[in-house]
Formats: sequence, C-alpha cells, structure tokens
Amino acid sequence: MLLEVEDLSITFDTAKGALQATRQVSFKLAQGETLGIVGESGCGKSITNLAIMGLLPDTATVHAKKLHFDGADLQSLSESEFRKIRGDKIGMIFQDPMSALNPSFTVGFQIDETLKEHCPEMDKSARAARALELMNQVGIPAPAERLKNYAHELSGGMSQRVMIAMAIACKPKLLIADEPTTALDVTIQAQIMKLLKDLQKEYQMAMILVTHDLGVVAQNADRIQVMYAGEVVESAKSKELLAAPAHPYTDGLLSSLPGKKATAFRQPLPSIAGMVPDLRARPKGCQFNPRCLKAEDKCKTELPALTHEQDRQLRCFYPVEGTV
Amino acid sequence: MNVIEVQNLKKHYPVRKPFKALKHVKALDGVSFSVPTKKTLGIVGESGCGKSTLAKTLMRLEVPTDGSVSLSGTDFTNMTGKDFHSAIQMIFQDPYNSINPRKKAWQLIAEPLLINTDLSKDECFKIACETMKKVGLRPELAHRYPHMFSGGQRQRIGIARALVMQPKVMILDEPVSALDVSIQAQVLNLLMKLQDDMDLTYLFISHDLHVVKHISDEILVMYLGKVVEYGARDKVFDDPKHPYTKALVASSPSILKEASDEPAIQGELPSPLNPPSGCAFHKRCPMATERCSKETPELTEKFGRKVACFEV
Amino acid sequence: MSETIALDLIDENEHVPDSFIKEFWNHFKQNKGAVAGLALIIVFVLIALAAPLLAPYNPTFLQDNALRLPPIWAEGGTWSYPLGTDDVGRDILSRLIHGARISMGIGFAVVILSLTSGLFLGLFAGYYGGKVDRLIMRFIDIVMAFPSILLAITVVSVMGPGISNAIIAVAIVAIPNFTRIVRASVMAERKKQYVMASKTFGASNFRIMVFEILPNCLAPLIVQATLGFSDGILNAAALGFLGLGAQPPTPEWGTMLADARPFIESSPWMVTLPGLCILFSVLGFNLFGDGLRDALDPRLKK
Repeated sequence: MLLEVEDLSITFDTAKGALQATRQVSFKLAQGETLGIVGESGCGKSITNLAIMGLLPDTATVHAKKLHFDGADLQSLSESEFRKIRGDKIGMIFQDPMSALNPSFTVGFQIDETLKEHCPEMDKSARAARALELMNQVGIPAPAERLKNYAHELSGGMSQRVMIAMAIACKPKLLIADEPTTALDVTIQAQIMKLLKDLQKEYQMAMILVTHDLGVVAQNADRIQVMYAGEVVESAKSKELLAAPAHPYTDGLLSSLPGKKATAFRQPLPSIAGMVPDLRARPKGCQFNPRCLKAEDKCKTELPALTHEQDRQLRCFYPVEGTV
Repeated sequence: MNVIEVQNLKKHYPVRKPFKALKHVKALDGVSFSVPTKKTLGIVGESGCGKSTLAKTLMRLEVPTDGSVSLSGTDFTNMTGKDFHSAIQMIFQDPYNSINPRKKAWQLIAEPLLINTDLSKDECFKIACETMKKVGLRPELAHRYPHMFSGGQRQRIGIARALVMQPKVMILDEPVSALDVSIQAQVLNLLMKLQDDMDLTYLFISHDLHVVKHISDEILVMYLGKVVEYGARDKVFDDPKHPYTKALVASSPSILKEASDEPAIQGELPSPLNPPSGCAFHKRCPMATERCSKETPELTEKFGRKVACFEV
Repeated sequence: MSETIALDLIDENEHVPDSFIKEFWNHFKQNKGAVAGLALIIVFVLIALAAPLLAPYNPTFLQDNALRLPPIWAEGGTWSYPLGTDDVGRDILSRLIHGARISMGIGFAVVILSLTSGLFLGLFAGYYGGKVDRLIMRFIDIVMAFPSILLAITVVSVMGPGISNAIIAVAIVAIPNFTRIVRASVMAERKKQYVMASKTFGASNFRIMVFEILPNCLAPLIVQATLGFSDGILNAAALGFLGLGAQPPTPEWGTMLADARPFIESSPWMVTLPGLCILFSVLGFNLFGDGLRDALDPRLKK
C-alpha cells in the first residue's frame, strides 16, 4: 500500500473550544489507484489531505493509529523531512489555480524554482529543458512563449495546467487534487480530467481526488469515499457505491441529483432535510441521525463503528436495504 | 402571452488601449428570445459567453447598445422604477456576497419595498415575515444577521427579497451553484414550488446542465455573446445539433455515464477582444469547414429548434 | 430516500452564534496591551470629565509663596502640592488634570472634524471613481505632500494662534488618512454583489453609499479614528509647544511643556510630568487602536 491512514483524528483549538474536524478517518490507497473523496463543505475532506501533506496550522492536533506513506511514518517526520516529501513524492493541485500561482513571477521562473528545490542535481539548462517538456506534457500550446507569461496572462484552464506541471515536476507517487476543476468551465474540466488521467497512467501515480461534484468522481475515481461531519460514512468501489449506496446519506445525495431518469422533468427532487451539524456541537450518536429518516433510538445514542465487509466500508446500523 | 420578449439585444463595451484603435467587446451580440408566462427558459454557456451581461442588461443595470426588451408588452425603457421592479427581479449566485452582512434578515427582505413603495416600516416587516414563511424560513429569525444563517438559508433570504415585489419574471443567476449538493435539491424544489404558487416566469442561468434540464421548458445556449442553439429542452439536450451544445452535453459530468476517452472539444474560449472571423466557434469545432471561417451563420429553424450552424 | 420535501429546514436546537459585540470582546480581551490601553483611556476620560471636582486648586491661580515647589517624592515637597508648582506658583497637579480635559477635547474635536470630511471625500471618490476620484485624490495628494506639522503651522499662522484654530489645522492634516481608508474600503465593497442586488431594486446612489456600503466600511474607520485621536493630541501639543496652539495661561500639556523649558535642569519635574501625560494618553489610544484593528479585522479571525 502506498498510503495507509488509520483512525486519523484532527482537532482544532479555537477560541470557542475544541473543534474535531475529522475523527477516525481510515483509508488505504494503492499505487496507480484513484480515490475520490466526496462530501459537503466542512466534512473534513480538505483537512484530511492537508494532514497527509503536513500542512495543517499549529492550532491543529493530529492523532492517528497509522499515517504511513510509501514506507515512512508521516507522524514522526520533522518539518524539513516533510518538505522533502512534499513536491517530491506528493504533488498537490488546488481549486483556484489563478491564486495558487504567484502573480509577481513568470510561469517559467516558478517551474524553475520547483525544479531547483526538488532536483538539485539538474543544472540550469537541464531545468529549462525539463520545464519545456513539462509544459508540453500538460498540453499547453506554444509552451516556450507561455513560460514567459505571468499568471494574469493565462486563462483558468491554462493556469491549472501550469499547476499540474509543477505538481508532477518530480514524478510524485501521489497526486492530491483538491477540487481541481471546480473553478473551470465544463468543457475545460473535461480536458483537465483527461490530462490528469493520462499523466496518472504514465507515471503510475496514485491520486486523491477531492470534489463535491459526484459526477466528476463517478467518472474518474476507482474508489469513492463519502465523508460527513469529519467521518467516513461509506467507501466502496465507484460502480458498487453508485449502483447500490448503503448509507442513507450517500443514498440521499445520489437521489437528490437532478438529471437522472428517475427524476422526471420538474418533479420535486428527493432532498435531505436539515443541514450539516456544527462541529463544535456535534449530535450524540450517529452524526447523520438528525437528518436521517431511518434513524432509530440506537442511532441517537451510539456512534456506529466503521465496518469492513468485502470491499465496502460503512458506518451505519441500518443500511439501505438490499445492499449489504 | 409572452411575459418577456427580447429582440436582437446587443451590448458592446468600448475598450480603449493607448496607441491602439478603439475596439468593442461584443458581450451580447443580437440575442433574441421570448418566454411565455409560468415557463422557464434555461440559459447555458461557459464563462464569458454573455450570460451575466444579459442578466445585467435585463435588470437595467447596463444600457443596451441596440435591441429591445419588453415586459408584458411594455418596452422596459419606458417603465417607471416601481413598475419595472415589480415586473422583474433577480436572484444572485453567491449567498455570502449578495446580501449585506450589516442588515437584519427582515431589512434585507423588505429592502425593495422600502425603496419602491410608501408602505410603513411595520407593514414592510409584516410582508417580510410572510415571505420568509413562503421560502421556508421561520419568521422568528427575522431579527438575525446574515452570519447567523447557513448558505442555504441565506439563499432563501435572497429569494424572499426578490419575491416581495411580487414580480412576474425572475432572473436566477446560478442560484444553486454555490450551495452544497444536499442543499441544492432543497432550493431547487423551493424554486419550482414558488413558480407554481406565484405564477412566476424564470430565466434560469446556470452552467450545470442537469439542473437546467430539470427545471427548464426551453433552453438557450450561448457562445461568445451569441445564441448558438435555442429550443425545447428535450430537443436541445437529448438531441443537440450545434457542435458546441454537443460538446457541452458530452463534457458535463454525470454519475450515469462513463467519461468519454477524448474530451469533446479542444482549446479554450477565444478572447472576446479578438473573436475569430466567421463563426466564433469554428477554431474549436470538429466539423468546421472553410465557409465557417468566413461567414457568420444565422440562427435558423432546423430540426424543430433554432441553430446557428452551417453544417447541420 | 424521502418522498417528502421539507421546507422548514431549521433545526430547533441549532447552534446560535454569538452576537457581534460578544465575539468582538472575546477577541479583544485576549490582547493584554489593548485592554491596558483601554484602561488608560478610561482613566484619562474620567479625569477629564471630573476635572473641577478632582483638581485641588484653580489651574490658573498663582500662589505667590510657592514658586517651583518640587513634588512630594523629591526633597522639599509638601502634600499641599503633591506634584509641585510651576515657575509662577500654579499647582501642577491641578493644571495636569485640567489639561486632560483640554487634550481629550482637542482629540475629540479633531477626530470629528477630520473624520466627517475625510469620510465624505473618501465615499465620493471610492464610489464614483473616474473624474471625481481623480479630483479628490489629487487634493489629498497635495495635503499629504506637506510635512504634517509644517502644514499645521502654516494654517495656524494664516488664521492666528489659539486652540480652535489649532484644532482646525490638526484636523486638516488628518483628513488624508481618513479619505484614503474610506476610499479603499468603499472600492472593495462596491464590487460586491449585494451592491448590485441593491441596484436591481432601484436603490439610489445615495442610499447605496450611505446605507449599504458605509456600514461595511466602519471597522477600519473606527480603528483610524482611535489612532487619529492620539495623532490629534500629539499634533495639538506640538503646536502648543511652539506657541501656536493653546495660549497661556490655558493648562494645555504642550504649552506647559514649552513654558517649563527654561527650567529643565533646575526643576525637571515641570517638563517631565506633562510629557508623561502626553506619552500615556497617546500610548493608550495607540494600544487600544491596535487591539481594535486586530479584533475587527476579519482576515485575522479563525
């Protein structure tokens, strides 16, 4: 396994008390595999990735039974060792490519800096050649001219391609893509997702794809992990999860999507009532119980454990019938 | 009868750069459509296609360069403020950015009344509370400030605010795209219910084809300020004819279909300052011929909808 | 999942966030310096308000028999004049207490004058932009091109010395700060969607400026007003020191400092005490202003 996370809990110290951003998050990721993490804002999907990257602020405390990446225990790494892994073995791309690029330097300069940092053995001309190669690889037309551009001279799609070029500069083993296409138009989104898939195949990269768009994960992830209020509620192979969601939350999310055959034109969409709990005042028992139609007394007092059955992880006492 | 009728609407912005000739960005270039009462027109297209300019122009925030807009048969330039604002209202995309954080919920909702009518504060408060009920907010929350509401609730405040003038037409500019998936369905259901209850006509602007398809009777596809395809929802989405509409439908991610191996179209939107000659789409179009780079196709009736393409 | 559509979605036990003031205070009180500054300000303001009750003597009354008496901690000091007397026999404690009144008054007047004019200029410049903006900002640039004290001296020399003229001079010097701060935040707010939303309801420009945008620009303005207070006190004291502000026998701290200058070696307390008063009142406002800025700045929250 390339990445193993077991019982990852992240707590933030805030002025208004402790905030448990994630609790008991466990997952594994093999080489070349794509894990899609879906969930609503505040469900802990981005925080989990920041923990893997070692980029959490000082107010956060991380506890995990296991946080192993490529044979190294991430919890015991010093900041300088982490820096070596970031960019070298783990690349990351963000939601807003326009603000992820530094506006004061050219694209070429920024790619060069990345290479300097992680590939000290390369000399200047080797780095220049590699930069050009990378630009070509991410499908940027007229790459030599583009290297001289500043961020504001590039479109959103182009900026995201540049970010990808920087993320893959050192052929990382894991690429974390946090909402990589949310800020982009659909036709550009399709191009970027295709590019990511191709690069993944070429480098045998594992990928964590974080998004709120179920369509995007459905089309691109091998496994889907659904998170709710900082917990993994369900995780399974994409096709199985989409075909037969077992957790009422997953089921609710999928059935609330418009544009499916089952939801006819202008029919009311099945929706999940209520809203995500405040993480400072979590409900007792199952986190989803106040919004769940299947909730029984047990759900209101006891937190269901994350069960592993065949290839599916599930945190529910009363899963949707006919699935498990 | 058509509640809103837009004829050949144009909005060109002059762009002056030192030492260069004056240029015009054609943000809207001859857009025409009409929507019958209680129906929904879905407007789709990518950023830069002119959707937002269209909304702004219809709301009289921009003066059209050419063309006409009539609301229930009256030209909108001849309407008084009060008539205009009770004919058309707008709901914005970002529930965090579009409501003033320093005002209480009821003040936000009553704002159009306070500006456009002579009603007393008490009456406005009463109407605001009633409207809150209509959009699924408890009137007890009337005295709360926006930061005490969630994103979905804020969007409801935005909807209530547009409703107090009892408009006939509502422009919905990406009303659910800033919301979480589980909240999107709630707000969409609310919008459909309100449309039935209050006989509203919607112009539904969105980039999410599934959402548009669910709610719209007719679809208008825009590209670089022009309409490329316009027709009934099942025609346009289930059997798209214009290559751009085809690309949009193919690129739109869905849980029901696998991703296609090749992206539907290559390249990006051309700069609106230097649009390509002829058909604006021809450089990205897989079906483009030489004619497409020379002549601009007109919107013509084909296959039961209007398409602007030589090759269909 | 469910067939029903829930329209009333609000959870009965929902978590109600703290009110703005409570949240602000929670944030503010963590900054010890700012709390100390607030305490200093409160002390000075109370002294200023209760000056006639607190002061043991009339600040301008001349004691013929007690010239340049030292304060009690020095040799020869008496309890009748705890902080000593000055060169013409006036009780320094009483003068300092009444001086607080004048300094606080000056600070207040300066802030009111510069804030209102700066606010209007900034609001118009930021909201309308273009020619209006260029005109106003060039005027501001001209004001800023003068060294502030020089400009104040020029204004006073034209209008003649005196407290009220000094206040006007110091206020003019402070206008650019307010204008620039208001203009910057108006320009940021103007682009937000709620302004556009207001326009779609037919709100007038005046309404948008005053009722929509202005309330959202208050935070930086309050901070600047606090800091403007200390600038005002300092500049007015400087003018007083130069003999262009308050005229003797007014017990103004800057003027007292100037009067005591010849005796700096023989009677050092005469310069030290008003100097310390200026120092602590200005320090108080600066600490408080910094704390306010931290507590009000949304970027620093969470």
